[in-house]
Amino acid sequence: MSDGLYEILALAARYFFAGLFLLIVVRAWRVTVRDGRRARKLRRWSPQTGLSGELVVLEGDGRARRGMRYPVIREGMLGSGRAADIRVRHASVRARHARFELTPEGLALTAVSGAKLRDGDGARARSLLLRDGDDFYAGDVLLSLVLIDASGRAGDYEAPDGGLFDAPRPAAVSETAPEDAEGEAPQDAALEEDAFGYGQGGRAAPPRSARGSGPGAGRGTRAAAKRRRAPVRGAEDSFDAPRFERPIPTRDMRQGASRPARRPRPDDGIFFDSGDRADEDHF
Amino acid sequence: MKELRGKMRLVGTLIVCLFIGLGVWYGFTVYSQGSVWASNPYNTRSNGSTAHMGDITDRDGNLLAHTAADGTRQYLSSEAGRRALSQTVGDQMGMSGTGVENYYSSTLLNISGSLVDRLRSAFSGEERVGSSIQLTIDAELTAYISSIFPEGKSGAVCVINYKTGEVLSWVSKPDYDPALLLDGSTEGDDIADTAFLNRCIQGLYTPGSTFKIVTLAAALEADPNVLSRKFVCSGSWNYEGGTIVCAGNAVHGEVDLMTAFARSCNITFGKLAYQLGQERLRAAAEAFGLNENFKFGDFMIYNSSFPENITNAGGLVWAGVGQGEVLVTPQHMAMIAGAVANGGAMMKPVLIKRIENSMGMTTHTLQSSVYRQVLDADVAETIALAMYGAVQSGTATRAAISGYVVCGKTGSAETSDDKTVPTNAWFTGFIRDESKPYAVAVVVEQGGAGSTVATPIGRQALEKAIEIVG
Amino acid sequence: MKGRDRYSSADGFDAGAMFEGTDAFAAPPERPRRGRSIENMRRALMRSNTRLLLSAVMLFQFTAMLLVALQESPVDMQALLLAVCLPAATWLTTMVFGRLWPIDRAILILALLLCSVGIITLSDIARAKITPLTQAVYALIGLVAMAAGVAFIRSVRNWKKWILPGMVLCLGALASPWAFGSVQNGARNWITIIPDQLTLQPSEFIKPALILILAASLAGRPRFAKCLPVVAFAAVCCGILLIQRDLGAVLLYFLTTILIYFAATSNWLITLGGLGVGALGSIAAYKAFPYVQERIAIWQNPWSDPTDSGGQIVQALIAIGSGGLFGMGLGLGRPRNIPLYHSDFIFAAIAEEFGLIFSICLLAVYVLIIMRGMVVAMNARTSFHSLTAFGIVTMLGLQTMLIVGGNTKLIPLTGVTLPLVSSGGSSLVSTFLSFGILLGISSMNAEDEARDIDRLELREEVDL
Repeated sequence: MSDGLYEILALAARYFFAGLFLLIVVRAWRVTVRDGRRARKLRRWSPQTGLSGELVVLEGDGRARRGMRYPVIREGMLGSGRAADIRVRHASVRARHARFELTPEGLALTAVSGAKLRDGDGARARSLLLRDGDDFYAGDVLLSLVLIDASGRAGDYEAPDGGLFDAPRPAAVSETAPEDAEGEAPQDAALEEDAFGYGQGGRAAPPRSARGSGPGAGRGTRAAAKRRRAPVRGAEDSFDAPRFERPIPTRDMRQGASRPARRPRPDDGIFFDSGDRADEDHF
Repeated sequence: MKELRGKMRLVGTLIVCLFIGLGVWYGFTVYSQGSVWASNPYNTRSNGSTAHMGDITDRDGNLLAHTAADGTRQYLSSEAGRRALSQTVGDQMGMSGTGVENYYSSTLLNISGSLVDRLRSAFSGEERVGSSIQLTIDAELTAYISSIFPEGKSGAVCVINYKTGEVLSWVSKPDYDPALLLDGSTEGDDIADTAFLNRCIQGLYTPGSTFKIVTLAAALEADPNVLSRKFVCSGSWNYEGGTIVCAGNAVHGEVDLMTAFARSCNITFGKLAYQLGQERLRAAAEAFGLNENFKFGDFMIYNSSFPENITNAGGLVWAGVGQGEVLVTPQHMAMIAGAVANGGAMMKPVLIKRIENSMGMTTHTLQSSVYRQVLDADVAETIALAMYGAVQSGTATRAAISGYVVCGKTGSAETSDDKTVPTNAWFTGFIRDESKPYAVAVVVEQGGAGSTVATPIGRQALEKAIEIVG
Repeated sequence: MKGRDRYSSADGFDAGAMFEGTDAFAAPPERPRRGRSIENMRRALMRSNTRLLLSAVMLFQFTAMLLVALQESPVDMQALLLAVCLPAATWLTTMVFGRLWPIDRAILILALLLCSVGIITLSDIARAKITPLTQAVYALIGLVAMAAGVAFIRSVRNWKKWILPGMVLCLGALASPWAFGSVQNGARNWITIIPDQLTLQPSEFIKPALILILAASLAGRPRFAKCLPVVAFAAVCCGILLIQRDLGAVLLYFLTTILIYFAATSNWLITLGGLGVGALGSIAAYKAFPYVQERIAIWQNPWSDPTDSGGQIVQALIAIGSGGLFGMGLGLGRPRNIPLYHSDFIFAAIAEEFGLIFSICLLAVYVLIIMRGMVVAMNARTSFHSLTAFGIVTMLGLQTMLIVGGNTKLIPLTGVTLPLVSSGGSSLVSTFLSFGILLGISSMNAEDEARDIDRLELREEVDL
């Protein structure tokens, strides 16, 4: 190509490149803003990071009353201050009371120097390793750990009378669950876990029972449900049926093949939308 | 983790803010300094020769640069003429960044702007012919001034028309012969290191006593009765931290301001500056255009400066007599004299008289406009009178031209603490005549006394201008 | 349904308060169905569609390389080949990486964009035809490194175990130029593998390693005493680099360490103290080392020596000034006037050919990568991953600021390169590796978020 013609082309191309690059930057900016908006909407419904379980207050007062529940994430700080990931607002709990970290063996709690941490029996401890169902004292507040994917077998815990929580007894669920849930058996077989005991996420079928009936006060995860008694009469029939479709993974099941975490399927809409629904925000 | 997130948010915001600051600073600097950088003498970009470069002519139509049929570039036939105009016209290698051949290369080659034009010429196959530029420069005047400039000395002479702002002549020494650079080599036989610099617009000099024009203006504006005050010059004056003496150890005795100006009494103006204070003095200097970011359309000029913050008495006193950290370009000094001559109105300087494209259409003509009203008309009148006094009976007597009223101011600027180094010789002045509105600024580096070395050059330049400029 | 779900607050959810004062036997108030909100949450998890961005980037790569190819009379075959390969490689990489792992595609696309700007500019201005080709080959190696980075960070479980071996490896690698190294450009920090053909700069590869070591040691907010070993390690690294005269790397390592330390421990006192020590150290270096003094003098007034030592920055400024708003046009500038135009001063060359608007947009691309990277860091599940992502992003940002500031005479010139754009195999590969780690962390975030929603959905179905 002749020099002159190339010069003209290059000079015209200047504006084209500048405009195109500007377009790229603007598009990337809008993508970022949109992602941010969505993330904020997501945060309204779920806690910030990795929900792994909850801590339930068994003994406490004031703003850390019995019955209060705190979502547990994978790693963070327990305390009464605003910067705490688990904010137990009690006088005996310091602003930064203890660090917690979820490990394959359970929840590891390490007290900040000087903070009072006691295990379930009341003995002072510097650091604790809690499994699903264990209790501990942070300051003067007795907290009980409930893990979603229970690492460690839960003991048979019975809530004291007068509690407000409704849940089938542990025995009822673990015995009836496999029998009642015939249609669910294929689901059990499909259960895969990785090294952390996280189960295969998939859309659970809508529960076949105990839906909408009875006092709707059954909050919490299935692990919580299995441990709390139903205090309200008039709805006992609803508690014979399993409230959860997915059985609690037992140790035997966990010792199966350890597979890596689920990979998104190619047509998996969970990660990338197909375009037309991209702009809908229905909250 | 919340603490972690909080800290990361903090650092992230900090980094993004720093980036935005960097971007803004970068954009702003390129916007304001970009053209200055690009016209640096060391910019060796010569835009390709795919077009027939247009002509450069002076105000009378003399061809200063022309592309012959075989493609070679031709300048004035006389070497003296070529050398006189070398930095103004420029050269093919782009060694003089401010030269018209480089600064206006896009116009001369018709590169910028008309994409349609270029497309048309590309398709029709005819060679692209650039536009021709007619300068306001008078070549004969320039050659003359170049010939009378002291041999072996460096310096600059600027002659302008203070009514229209046209630049009539730029002479910058040392110079070079652009014809030697045509074969692409930048090695001339003996081209001086700084020959490619146009000292008229790129040379920043200490103005010396010529700066007393500004001090006088500041004094007149601060105190209208200052003309009736008497000052005593006893040969030396002590201020806190130093002493100021008059040039040549002169003792002027009791003088009024006019006489002090004519005789260029350092002590009077030092005391004046001291009494005015740095605020008023700087304000007057900035009114004249020092510390300003000049952005003239026709050419690039380095900015003159007056110190922002004078911390001691000595700095103030010496600044009042144009020493210290005061810096001015010769072109700016000519504009200052022109403002005094023009009733206080400083005209925007123009270099380009007309641009004509290859089809004969005029695409640009010069427009005179007032750059700024620097002084009130009566203050300008008073200063003009003082400058007339300098020519009549003061240090600038060598500038007198019979039959014309010439006003001027001399200066001998010290450039080093070493007393054996000669001072820079300055002269700036103008002709008070409606039909011959010419102003001049001369600086001879290490030339000695302004009154003996620079003033005659100024007078001769003005005389020649009166004679030949049409 | 409006309003926050009270369960989401860290303050805990008081089940008891809901029922105070009510008859325990009465039916509690009906809570509306929220099955639909799960669907909305899933939708919220979806990332934005990046197809338009990808197409725009591919278009840019194709047209720019095509223009470069047309520069020569018989069309430049190598450039034409690249004109086809660049967009194809970009598309392929985005598809492959996106299908394998749920990474943040926008970061990947922007990174590939930067890399291609580098290749395009080199194709245009490099003296040797081989240079852009070498750059492209290094980019391919870099993509492999990126995949390795993703796989690596996704698989590492017990990072504490690797701290000590990592430190030893780093120190060994940094010291290796003394053993079998060579001096290049005034800095003795290169090792020659094949003389004149293949040289490596170990300090570049140590960057991601340093970040990983710092993150692993400082995760979990250890007390000051426990931090000392890693701080000492970082100090030794800086010392070695100072002796090797790699000023830019020293500055980079030092600032990154300080910032990661600050983020991890929130200890203002120590951080400011560290900065103070750094300031003192740089003053001491200024007094002690003459080459530092030279650099500063040249930075202050390059015009005083425009042909020799100040020549670099003078030519760079001239180039940037010549570029103007839209640039001189691809192929129309003379960027070869600038010494080191292909590595240190590539930003000035880009500003000359493409103009001010383009170069500011280039900076904006870096800012966007940093912003998205910060989001990845903040959403990470463990503090180790969080700090790693943070460190990578911080180092990227600091490096870019150092080099752009040096190009524009804002700060003295340091020897760092513009990440992903400058020519330089080691720098390119190691930056891609860092990006791989960042993308790996973003993929882990996405998976965890999906898991969260599954669990919430489960709760939903129990009729909360």
